[in-house]
Amino acid sequence: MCYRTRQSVVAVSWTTEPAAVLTHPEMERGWRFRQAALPHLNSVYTMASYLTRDTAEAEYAVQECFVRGLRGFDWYSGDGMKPWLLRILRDFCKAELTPRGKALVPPVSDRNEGPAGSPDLVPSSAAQVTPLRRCGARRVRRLIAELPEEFREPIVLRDIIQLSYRDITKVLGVSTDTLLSRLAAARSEVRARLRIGEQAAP
Amino acid sequence: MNCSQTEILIHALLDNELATSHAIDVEAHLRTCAACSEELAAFEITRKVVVQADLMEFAPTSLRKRLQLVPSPIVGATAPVVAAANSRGLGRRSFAPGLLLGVAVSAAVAATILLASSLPWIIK
Repeated sequence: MCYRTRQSVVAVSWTTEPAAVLTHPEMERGWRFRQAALPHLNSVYTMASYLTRDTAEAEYAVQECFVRGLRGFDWYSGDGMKPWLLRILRDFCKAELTPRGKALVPPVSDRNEGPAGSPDLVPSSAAQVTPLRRCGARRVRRLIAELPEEFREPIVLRDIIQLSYRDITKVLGVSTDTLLSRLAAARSEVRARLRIGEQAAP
Repeated sequence: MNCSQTEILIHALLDNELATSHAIDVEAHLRTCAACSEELAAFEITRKVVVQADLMEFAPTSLRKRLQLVPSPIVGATAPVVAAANSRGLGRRSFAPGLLLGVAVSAAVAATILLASSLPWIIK
């Protein structure tokens, strides 16, 4: 990493911050922010992917989230970095990114997508083999990406990013009752589309 | 506790987010209501399908590297990131207004110099 100064360009490593860097207030603040924020990058990127449903938009949103997070780091209360960053990300996406008019596409990673015809995932629990095999990770991802935003957000935050209800209410700015009813509606929608429980019907 | 209340609260029960007193009430209702028990079982499978699909995304390495450059104190905290975004065609801040302003200022300075140099001739 390079910090440009008026006299020279000082190359420093971001992981092992030298004492000289830590004495510069701005650099020290940036170092503290990176230490606190970067461990949550995958969670922020995941949320961005599901909010924007577009690779380039997701990267742009994450970048802006980190830049805004650094700007506001002095006001961070210390009450959970992950929900704090996710709130910044969500506010940015709502305020700055125009809704996509194109057809819904699933989030961009192919991490869980094998070659055509291969199993999407290997479930660890024998009890869920049938629904998981039938659905497949790819289909589940697409299905969640296609949910209306007010249902998509709670299911991503809870079942994918695995935030607590308390943290989710902070991210979404809603009460626990509202969160619970949205989560129930989201899971009902997923359940209906995956047709879980229908085989038990007479 | 009735079925309509249980319908919502079973999700908090599944997520281990229900206060003990409420959990006792919901579980008591589930023991006596087959329909709600079936709902619980179906939503448990639904939740596990989503959780076990493991849909967390990994941030691209290039993005992670760019974020490690935040901040750059002299050129501004956003400089490396915005520059990277612009290079990928992601930047939202157009430089066209700045370019036009620069051209306008240059033209004004050139006109002033020309006028000042020709002023003695004009006066004569």
